[in-house]
This record gives sequence, C-alpha cells and structure tokens, in this order.
Amino acid sequence: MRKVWVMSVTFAMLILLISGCSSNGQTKKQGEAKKEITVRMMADPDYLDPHKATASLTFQMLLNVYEGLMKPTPNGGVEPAVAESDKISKDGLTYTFKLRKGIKFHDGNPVTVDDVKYSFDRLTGQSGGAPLSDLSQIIKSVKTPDQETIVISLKKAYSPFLSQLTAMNAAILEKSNDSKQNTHPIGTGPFKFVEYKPQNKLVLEKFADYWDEDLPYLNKVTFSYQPDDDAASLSVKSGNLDLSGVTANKVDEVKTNNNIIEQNNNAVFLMGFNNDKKPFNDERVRQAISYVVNKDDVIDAAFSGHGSKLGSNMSPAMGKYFNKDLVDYYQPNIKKAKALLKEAGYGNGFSMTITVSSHNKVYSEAAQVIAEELKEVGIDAKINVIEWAKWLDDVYKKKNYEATIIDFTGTISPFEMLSRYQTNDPSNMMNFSDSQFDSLMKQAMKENDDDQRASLYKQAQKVLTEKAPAVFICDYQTEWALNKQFTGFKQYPIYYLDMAHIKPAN
Amino acid sequence: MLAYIIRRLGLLILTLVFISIITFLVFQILPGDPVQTMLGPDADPIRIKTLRHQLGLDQPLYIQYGHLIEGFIRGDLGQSIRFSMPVRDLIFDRLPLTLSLAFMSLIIVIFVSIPLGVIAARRENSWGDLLLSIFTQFGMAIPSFFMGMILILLFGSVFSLFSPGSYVPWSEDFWGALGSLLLPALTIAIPQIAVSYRYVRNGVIEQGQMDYVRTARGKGASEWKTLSHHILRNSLIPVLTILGLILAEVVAGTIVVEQVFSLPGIGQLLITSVSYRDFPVVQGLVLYIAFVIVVINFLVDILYSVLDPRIRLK
Amino acid sequence: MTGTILEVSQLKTSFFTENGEVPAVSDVTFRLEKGEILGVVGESGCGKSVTSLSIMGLVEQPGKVVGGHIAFKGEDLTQASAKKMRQIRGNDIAMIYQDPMSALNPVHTIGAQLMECLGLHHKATRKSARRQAIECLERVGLPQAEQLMHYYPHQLSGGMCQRVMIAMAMICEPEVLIADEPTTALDVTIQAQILELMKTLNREFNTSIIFITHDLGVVAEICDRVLVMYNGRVVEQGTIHTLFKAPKHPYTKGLIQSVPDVREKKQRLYSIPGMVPSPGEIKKGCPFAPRCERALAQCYEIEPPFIKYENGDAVRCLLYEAEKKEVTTHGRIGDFTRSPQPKKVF
Repeated sequence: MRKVWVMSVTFAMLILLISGCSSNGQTKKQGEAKKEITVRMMADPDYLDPHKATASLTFQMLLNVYEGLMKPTPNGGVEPAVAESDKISKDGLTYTFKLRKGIKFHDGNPVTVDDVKYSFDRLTGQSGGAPLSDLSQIIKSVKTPDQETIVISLKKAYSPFLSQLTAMNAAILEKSNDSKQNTHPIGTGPFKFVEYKPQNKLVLEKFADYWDEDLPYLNKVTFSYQPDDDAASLSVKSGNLDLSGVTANKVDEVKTNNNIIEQNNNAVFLMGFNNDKKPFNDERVRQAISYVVNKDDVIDAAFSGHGSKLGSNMSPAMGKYFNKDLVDYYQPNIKKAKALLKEAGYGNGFSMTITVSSHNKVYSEAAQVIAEELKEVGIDAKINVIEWAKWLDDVYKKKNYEATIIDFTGTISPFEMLSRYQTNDPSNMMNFSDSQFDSLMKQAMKENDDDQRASLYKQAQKVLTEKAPAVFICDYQTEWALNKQFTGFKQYPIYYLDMAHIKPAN
Repeated sequence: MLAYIIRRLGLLILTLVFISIITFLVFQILPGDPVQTMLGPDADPIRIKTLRHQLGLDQPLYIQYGHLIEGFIRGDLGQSIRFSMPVRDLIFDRLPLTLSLAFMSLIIVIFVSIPLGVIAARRENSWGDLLLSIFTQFGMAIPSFFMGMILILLFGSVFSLFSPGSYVPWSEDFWGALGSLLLPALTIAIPQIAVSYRYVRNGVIEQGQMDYVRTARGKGASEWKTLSHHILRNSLIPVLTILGLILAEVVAGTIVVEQVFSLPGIGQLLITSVSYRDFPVVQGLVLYIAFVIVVINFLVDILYSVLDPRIRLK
Repeated sequence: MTGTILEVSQLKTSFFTENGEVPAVSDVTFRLEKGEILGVVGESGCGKSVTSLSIMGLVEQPGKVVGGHIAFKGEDLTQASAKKMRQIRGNDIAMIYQDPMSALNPVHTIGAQLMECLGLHHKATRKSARRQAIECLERVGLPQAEQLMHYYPHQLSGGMCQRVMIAMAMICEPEVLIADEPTTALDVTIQAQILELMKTLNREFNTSIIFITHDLGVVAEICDRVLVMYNGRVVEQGTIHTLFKAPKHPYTKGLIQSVPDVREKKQRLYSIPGMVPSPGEIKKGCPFAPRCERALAQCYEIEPPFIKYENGDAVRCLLYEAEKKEVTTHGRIGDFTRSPQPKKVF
C-alpha cells in the first residue's frame, strides 16, 4: 500500500511542476479605477495576420491593433487613419494619400511610405507571393513619389475603394516584420498585441505612442475565450467578464451590474434558395415562399424578438444606402402564395430540404418555424442539420442544396454587401442571375457621386426583393452587457469592439 | 522485465501506427476544407486559394500525410492549420490543464470510492448500503455532459459559487485553479466513483470471508488492522484493473467535460480541430491520447505486480 | 502436566439465521490440561471447528456464543473484552488452520506475516523480530529460513505453508495451540512430518494442544485424550486407551469400526448408516438415535444425560445410565501398559 501512495504523491508533484513551468505568472491587480477590461471572445481569431484573416470576430478584436489608410466610423463611413488625407481624381482612377506625420508602429519605428507600399504589394501578390485579396483585381499600381505621399492607381473606376482601405481589407503592416505578422502582430492601432493563447485569451495593452494622443483610456484589454452563451452570461453576472454579448433571455439576470446596449449587427439573416434548382428556378415559387414566411415568428423563435425585419440584402444599419420601402413587401399572405404556386404548377405543393449548419442553433430554430409555416401551402420541408465544415463544403462551395439558412455579416461597403448576387461573383452561393441587377451593380461601381450610388444600390435592393433569390428575414441584434464600471461603448455597422473609446466610469 | 518493456514498446509503436492510419482514413472521407471552414462564407476566394496553397492543402491528402509522418519521425508534430502554431506548442500548452483535471478526477474517485466501498461492505445490506447502491446506480446512469450542466446550473447560477470559463493556471493562482477544476473533475469522477465503489465493496466483502482474514484475527490483529493491512490490499487488486479502465475513461471524459465547462484543455482542442478539419492537430492529439492510454496500461501492469506478488511481469 | 489450563463448560454457540436460532454447539464441556494433546474427532459439521473458534472468540456473524463458560487460566473468555481477547489471541492461544495455502495472506511475505504477530504482542524491534521469525522458521524445520522470509505464500508448497503456519502460531510461544485439521489438505508423507513436528513442539514447550481432526488414525498417533463430538455435543470423552479399547457410545464404536484396516481384506468398509443431521434438525431425544443400531424407544424421547466417570471419562448415552458403575469399573481396568493400536484392536 505504501508504495501506491508514494507513487501517487510523486505523480501529483510532477503535475504541479509541469503546470508550474508552463506559463509565466501574472496576477490580477485590483486597481482603484478599473483600467483593465475583460471582454468575451466567442471564437478564436482565424489569423492574427490581418491580410490572411477574414473572420469578423477576428477583426472585432484586431481592429484595435491594426489600422489601414482609413478607419471605420460609427456611422458607416471611413475617416483617415494611417493616411492623414486623401484626394480622388475626377475619373475615379487615382487616389492620392498623405502619410500621417509622426505615426509609429507598436515597436516604436516610424511608419514609412515603404511600409504602405509593402502592405499593398503583399495583398496584391506584387511582392512575389500569390495575391491574398481581390484588391489585386482592382489596384493597378501603388507608387510613392516622396516620403509622405502614396498614389494608388486603379484598373477601373471603383467607387467603394476608400471603404476597402480599412484594416479589415488593407491593414498597414511593418515591412521588417514580414515573416512574423501572424505570430508577433505589429500595427499602428491604439492597442498593441501582448499574447495570444488559443482557446484561452488574447491580451492587448495600451500603445503609449498612439497618434491620437487622447486615446486609449484603458491600459489593458483581455479577450477571454468563452464560446458558450450560458457560461458567458454567468461570467458577466459574476463580474469575470466586463463586456460580452448576452442572449436576450439572460438580459434581466445581468442587469444589476451591467449596462445593456442593443446593437444592430448589419448582418443579413436569410433563407437562401438554390436558384438553379427546380422548383426554385421559378421566381413565383420563391415569391410564394416569401409570402408564407412570417418574419416576426422567425425573429421571435431564433432571436427572442431582438431583430429588425429586412426586405432585401441590406440592414438599416447601412443608413442612407438602405431601402426602407422593401421591409413589408411580402406580408404573410397564404392566398397569394397558393395562387403563385398554382401558377407555377405546384398547386399541390412539393417537398424540399432545408440544409442548415449545426454551429449555431439559430439556424435550426429558424428552419423549424419556417418548415411549420410551409405546411400551410402544402410544402413539406425537411430539415437537415449538418456540421459547419460540411455545410461550407456541400452548400457553400459545391452548391449542392435546395434551401439553406445562413447570415452574412456586414461590411461598411454597400457594394460588397450586394456583390454576391452578381451572376459571375465567386461567392454567389445562391446561383442567382439577373441582368438588371448586374447592370445596376456595374453602374454603381463606376459612379463617383455618393447620392447617385445610394440610389443605384436601392434599386438593386428592390430587384433582389422582387426576384426573391432568398427570403430576407432580419438583421439580428446583439445585446451587449457592459460592466457599469465602464462607459464609452461605440457602435459600428461592422464587427468592431472599439476599445480605444472605452473608459472607466467615475 | 526488459523483455516485457521491449514488448510493450513494440506494442505502443504498432498501436500508434495503426491509429494514425485510421485517423488519416477518416479524414480522407470527411467532407470539408480547413481554410474554408476557418474563414467562413464571407471569405475572399482569392485569399482562400492562396492560403490553401501556402499550407500545402492543395496537395492530395496522402502527400500531406506523408509529410506529417516524415515530421513525426524527426520528432516534429507539424503545424496547426487553424491556429497557425506548432502542434507541439498547442498540445503542451493544454497538457497541464488536462492532466491535472484527469488526475484530480482520479484522486476524487480513489478517495471517495474506496472509503465508501469499505463502509458499505462493512455494513453489508444495511440501509446505508442500500442507499449508496441506489445513488451509485444513478451516478452511472447520468451522462457526464448532463451532470456537468446540472453542476454548473447549481453551483454557478443558484449558489453563485463558481464561474465557468474562469480558468486560471496553477502557477498564477493555486486555489483559483483548484476552484475552477473542482467541478469539472467532480463531473468526470461521479460516474467513475460509482463503478469503482462497486468493485471495492464487492472486493472487501469477498476478501473479508477469506481464510487469511481469520488468520489475521487469530493473531490478535484489530479490526482496523485486519481491514487496512489484509483485506483492503487484496480487495484493491481487482479494483486496480478497473482503475486502469477508469483512467482511460477519465481521459476520454476530459474531452466532453472541457467542452461543457469551457476549459482550454486537450479535449477542447480536439473537438475544435476536428470541426475545423485541422488534420495535423487531430493526428497529433489522437496519437497523444493513444500514447497516454498505452502508458496507463503499462503503469497499471507495474502497479499490479507491486500489489500482487503472484503476478510477475514476463 | 500440572493443572488445567483451559476449561470449557456447557458451551453453547448458535447461529441466528432467517429460520431462527440454530445451535451449532450445545453443552460442550471439557478440560484441557497443561501440556496435553487433546483430540477432538467427529464428522464434518459436528461442531469441532465452531468449538475452537468459540474459544478463540472468532465466531463470526451471525454466530454467537450464547451460553456456558470458557475459563482460560481462571479467566472467563466469554466475558472478556474485545481488547483482552486480542491480547490473548495469538499470544496465549494460537490456532493452526485447515488449509494453509488459503490461510496465509497472498500479498504479504512470509516474513511480514510472521513478524506481524510479534509486532502485535511484543514491542519487539524490527531486527529482533526478524531474528525470532527466522529462528522460528528453523525450529519448524524449514530450510534456508533467511531467504524464506522474503518469499510469498504462492511460492511455497502446501507442507511448507503448514510449517509456516505452525511457526506463526508458535512464534509468541502460546500456552494453548488449537490445530484445526492441520493435515487434511496435505499428502500422507507430509502429514506424518507435521504430526511429528507438533509432538516435538508439545514436548519441548509443554504447549497444550487441541487437535481437531476427523481422522482417528491421527488421533491415535499423537493424542493423550480424545473428545468425540456429534451434532454439536460431546458424546464421549476418554483417554486414548479406553476410547480405542472399549468405546462406549455407539457412535464412537461406529467411527472406530469405519477406519480401514490395511491388513484385513474386508469386502466392504463399514460405515455408519444414515446421514449426519444438520444442526438444529433434531429437536427431541438423542440426535444419534435415528442412526443408532442400539437405539431404544426412549432414545427418541429423552435427551441423554452426560455421564461422567471418576477417571474423567464421560459418555452421553442412555444405555450407560443403568450400568454406570459396572462400566466405570471396566474403564478402570483399562490397560494402560499396552500401547494403543486401534487398528489391531478391531
């Protein structure tokens, strides 16, 4: 017996030893005014290298570290960041930027026009490697005539170009850090990168030399991994998380020590059809289904009522680009739906499959409501729940599906939000093709006048509504719980948790 | 003994090769692309293409597998696709958590089930014994993910004693780490306690009727001494086999429980890596788990021969 | 041989089962003199082992000593505390068991098991305990005692194990040694050696031995006096001479008759007719009556009295109630000079 205990104790010591060696100790300081914040990280970043990263959740965090020539503003526009000013030629082909004076990278080195050129070359594949971005199809050349000027020439006029120049699409990186962009991120943002432990945390700390001397207010930001909603709300309640999205049904629980901020996500939650496949190649069938689906019911079931109804592929968060007349285009109307189906030759209904991913339960919750409603017009909808990876492969890539429910996260560029419905767009997962829509998008791309553009986008949205490549359901809202010790939360129409403006509440 | 170790080592290598091939074959038929899965439907197709090429994912899987195996032989586990980090770092980073979780569970199993089993055996067929039997029956029947959820609800929501996902490493805060691991460890332990308890109880009852126990009493040994020195040691021999199995269960249990409690351990890494089709990580983890299980069996064999002199390693 | 060391009187040990109280031993009375070897014989289930366990205080649940006294050097063991009993067990009264292989703990070394005894009763140092244990092993005739200390029971033969058991029982030099069928599980040549060893120990240490067996041949070989038990009762007691030469109880006679004699070519071996009744089965009269060839009508009705003779012999049979005096005389005439050779006698 004695030997067993000796062994056990030795083993225990060994484990303590191993775990002791593994991480360098950092103890939490309990300061007077809280200058450190812990924010929920729902999923790991895909890449820390902003040129490789795509996930909106990555930029939600990393937009605090990186900046492009431009940076996003809360109203959906852009403002100068690494660049101090910009000038666009009349033909829309030449963009001239002045580099911001005195701007530095996190390692203390000044930002040079060479770094800017390096960044664009890396994205477009000019520096040897393969292109990392479809900017390569737009940008003709990047020139640096002097030490503070950058001139970008485009292949053809592309009106949304400025909005493509934030860190989301074109972060400015330091040339000398080339091989380490993904492991030791260096940017120009208000916070610098400290460490990242997968499925654990991502830590940022104040960048003292930030070009905007007033910012940031906080000393340290810790993004703490918490994929589970219920666990997250418990942590919010206990004060382990200072900022986190919470599900609507948990709002009351966390209210006591948190302020609740409701935010539109600029996302589009929809049921998309495979527009190539029978019977969805007939627009009357798609319209009929649009008349059947009661969006309020779906919002109630999947988002506990926290969503704004949509009529097309654009959220009200996009402000002036949003066509608000389309929201109630399809009022639930069974009679009309039945008539349309009869016209299309499906008077007795048909059976279909809605394929959804399992990675978020909102998809299957919405599918259940819709399937139930479709029974009224004789459509028998089966729900097929599959793994996310399989969804991306079968549905998104191979387009082997009839209908699916998914959400597209927003960008600040209305063009990008609509581009996937163009006939030849590589991300046209719904196989939608409409010549009117395509020509409206082409015009918008060339149009330099913003108001004119807005009107073209609105027309394009209307085409989508009428042709119904999908049932556009809603933009869901996020309920942010922010510890009452903090204030200064800013809302953006993109996934961006702007930590620079957050400050301790007195 | 040497021959035994060599035989064991051979078995280990064979097991690992076999498991590695199985993993490879499973990945061969599994749909999904790691880069697409990671970047999602909003990704720029050009970016996906470039990244796939950079990662060598545009090559056939058997060539990727070949590179991986070649790396293994050099002692390099490769690079994670999802986390762009060496697989080795990922695994070693999580090892302390998972090992301490497994070890804590095992300790709980041992320290709860053995006394309970002994007490129940000494009061065979009493009310307490009956009650324990019913409880353990329940303990075995409840799946661990459900048990975990109940515990989170109870201790997290109702009593506010525990906050899930607030894991801190041992080195930063010993009591904090203990606190954050206790519930998960308990979740893993409860069904195993039930299993182990039954073996202890039956072992003590059975051994208590053996002749050598009478001999010990005949020498004038007290009840406690008879129990601790004679009965228990013999009863633990069958329990040890079960503890070996339990340890394997515990290692498997960490996978589920880490998920439920959001603990950044090996199990969570495994699940994430599978869903992101991160072949190198999955391959590394599966081999690691197989390795651990084989080593556990080896340790059990050694302990076996320590506890029972009739068994000598051949 | 001076004085009585152990006196058992009217011992009654019962088992409490679902069917109520079942007496395994009832009204057992005998004396053990200092330095004598007392044989206890009887078929299986007659209460031999329960008697010995009762003396040791090792009757296990649901059994219990419910009546009578066991006086060891004047102290009543039935009234002794658990602590007192632990001090006596192993130290003053030790026991050797039937199956030596299973009576030794398989996971401890011979040495550890031997020394445990010393550790419990004498606060001996490890070193001296070790020395004593080795001596003890040598004394019971085990070769290479020193190495043997590190052996485990499964590495030894049955005979060696029994020697170890004897060494273990003798290590604290007890005054009473109870040997419960110590040779049953062993083959014949080893049996003889073990018996020889026990005789030697008896002589050298003047240890009193209660020797439990069902083998009359073994009894004849080493015992001074014999107790015959049937169905939980002593049915006859006497010196080896009287018992073998002139058995009184029909059961004793039957037992002696059923010993095979190698020199006589009998066609069939004698066996007592009928079956041994299970404890508690016979509620009235003499329990042997159903199997007894000489049973009288009243044997089924009256519990036979325990008739004691002046020489210490005793019998429990109605047949002798009337002729008590005559038999007593006969017993006295009993030849002490002739060596008892039961097989020749019958």
